[in-house]
Amino acid sequence: MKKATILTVVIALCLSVMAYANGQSESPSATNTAQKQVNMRFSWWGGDARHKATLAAISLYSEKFPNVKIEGEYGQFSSFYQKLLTQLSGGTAPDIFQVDFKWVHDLLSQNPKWFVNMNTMSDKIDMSGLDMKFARDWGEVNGYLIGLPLGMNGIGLVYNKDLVQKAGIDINNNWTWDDVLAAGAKMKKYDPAKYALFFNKDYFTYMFKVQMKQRSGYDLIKPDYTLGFSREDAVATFSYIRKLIDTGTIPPLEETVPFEKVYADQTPNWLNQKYAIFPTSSSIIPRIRSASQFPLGVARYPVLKDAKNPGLITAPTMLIALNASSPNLPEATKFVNWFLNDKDAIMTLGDTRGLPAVKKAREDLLAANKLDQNIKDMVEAALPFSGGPEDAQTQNQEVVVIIEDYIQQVGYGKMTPAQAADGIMKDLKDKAAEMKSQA
Amino acid sequence: MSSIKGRYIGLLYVSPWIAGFLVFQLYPFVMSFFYSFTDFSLLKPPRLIGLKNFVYMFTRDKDYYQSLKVTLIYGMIAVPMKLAFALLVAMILNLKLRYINVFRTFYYLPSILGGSVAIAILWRFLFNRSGVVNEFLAMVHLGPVDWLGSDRWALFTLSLLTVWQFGSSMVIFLAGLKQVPADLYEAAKVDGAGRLRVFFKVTLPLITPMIFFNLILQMIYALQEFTGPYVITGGGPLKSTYLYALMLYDNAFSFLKMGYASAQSWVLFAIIIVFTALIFKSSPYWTFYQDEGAGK
Repeated sequence: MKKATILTVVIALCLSVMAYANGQSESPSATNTAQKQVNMRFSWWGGDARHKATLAAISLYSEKFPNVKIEGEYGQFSSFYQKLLTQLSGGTAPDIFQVDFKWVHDLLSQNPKWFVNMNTMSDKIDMSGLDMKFARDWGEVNGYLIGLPLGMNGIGLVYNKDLVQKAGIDINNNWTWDDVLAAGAKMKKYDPAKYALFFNKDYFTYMFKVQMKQRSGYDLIKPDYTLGFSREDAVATFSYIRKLIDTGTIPPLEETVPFEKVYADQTPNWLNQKYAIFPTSSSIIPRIRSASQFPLGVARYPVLKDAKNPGLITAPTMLIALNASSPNLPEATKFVNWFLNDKDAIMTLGDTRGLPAVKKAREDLLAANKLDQNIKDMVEAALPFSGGPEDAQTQNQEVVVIIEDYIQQVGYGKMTPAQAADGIMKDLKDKAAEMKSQA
Repeated sequence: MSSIKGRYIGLLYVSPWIAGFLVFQLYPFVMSFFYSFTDFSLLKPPRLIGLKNFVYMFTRDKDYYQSLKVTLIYGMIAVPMKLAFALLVAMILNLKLRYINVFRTFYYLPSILGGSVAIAILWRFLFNRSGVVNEFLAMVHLGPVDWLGSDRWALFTLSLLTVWQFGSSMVIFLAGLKQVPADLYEAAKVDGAGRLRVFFKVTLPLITPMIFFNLILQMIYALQEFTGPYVITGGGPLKSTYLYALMLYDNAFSFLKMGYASAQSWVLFAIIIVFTALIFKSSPYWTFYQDEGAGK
């Protein structure tokens, strides 16, 4: 009897495993002949505007190539990386996916075998319109290029034109960090309930990184795993953050923290015109544009007086990568080439991934009046002040969390700038030592 | 013969569950134990490193004790509040009213909605500085309170979300309340006991087995709570809501330290076992079974 019992369970298990294996084998067999049905998956993050445009581009592609069906997997940026990692390690990653420049070093230093090295694909994907130095600066580790840039991103200030004007704030492309404080004072004078500026979590971290680079000339952790800044630099930056809050230039963190994971387009006080300026990246402009009921303007990101490095972040908005173990690699490659270079694709996607990285795409959109002038202006204002590619060590996700923690400690008044400077130096040294030991 | 056949068919019926259990529970359970002794990044094969993960956890991880602390505090706030609230609602729904079943259904709804993203957004709008809750407080000249923005209140605000999902505990209490013999209430009434006295001397002792059951279940849930804090606060501000499961998730999926996260999950497992054992050990002193009399 026992034998029968075990047998039953084993049979049942085999059945379920076979059912699973069946589902798995569907796509490889389908690619054997070119005209057979190909099912692929493409994953990206973004806001509504990008989702709609990308889905439209996908269906356009399916119309042109009826044998190719692409399923879009899309969502918010905040949990995309975690999902991608799980999919990669579980062997279920999509055929095509977006990668952020911040993950490139972590991903490639772990194991490059998950991704197609784009350096080997120049005969299959037209890269002539791309600035390949820019692509490699941000997407390459040890000769391995993880993906191709879809857009060019520059950091800058997006502002509510009406509110800035009413408060008498003269916003322009030459702002220093002192001008930000002066704008805060003007706004308080105009209406004490309103604030000149606000940050979400991501852009507070960027502000810290940028200002530190402007002070020291280096990224937080240098390629030799030593710190790129002095204690004075950190004290000065943390003191500046304290000043932003104490002068009412930015709202107290208690007010903004509940919305720290979303951008201006989902921040009630931006939408109801209580906050005037949002430091952000050009690629975020489309979603802010579609949510805001008032005219927007852009200006260059503030640069410290006598900065050692202008430090502004100009990077790919995202890289498009190919899954090296995709059973549909030839078809996926064809799609990526189309997605980057085809005129219909360019027109359908518009500026939803920021200023397109492909030169021809920029020209076509401009000619068709489909490129938001604000996006173009923000990138163009940032480029001459670019801080260059960020050292890989500084992009580590734990480093980012360490910065976030100390900004909150200072912002909530739990630590003085001096204490935070000592704390962040110790934590970053520890983390750098850990990375060095694993390198 | 027929019983053998019955058993055969029975196993066939449960085989999907067995398959699911083996693949999705037993296998990860065993593997995570193995991974806890490794340096495993998800993207590279694991490398054995002995007890290093545990040593790091207890001696060098500066977030570990903070996270453990807030998780225990969360359990201590959320579980009693949830049980008390569930019992209160169960008692109301135990009244003999018209359409009571409709009410029972409605009161169960929040538990189905659970910690979904929509609820997280709702919570943010209710509890932000200019949210609905503060507007109500302003009407009685109180506040504003930074429910989610201050490290003093955020954990409590998250506990409210748990309390609001009182449905499953409530149903168990309701079943318990229905089993309290009516003659005991009548006898107490005849003896002149007031409502409060009846509650503490008759109702409460007789539903202690349900309290015991709910306590264990909710304690286990609370120590593993993830969705609410993940979608609403992300662990902040100042790590005041950085519950154990969030830390575990960050290590596993953001910092590529799956080995370390596995070690943390095994420590959490041990903590849950200890708490469960303590509650079990203490139960004879305070639970009362009608058929056995008092436990001791």
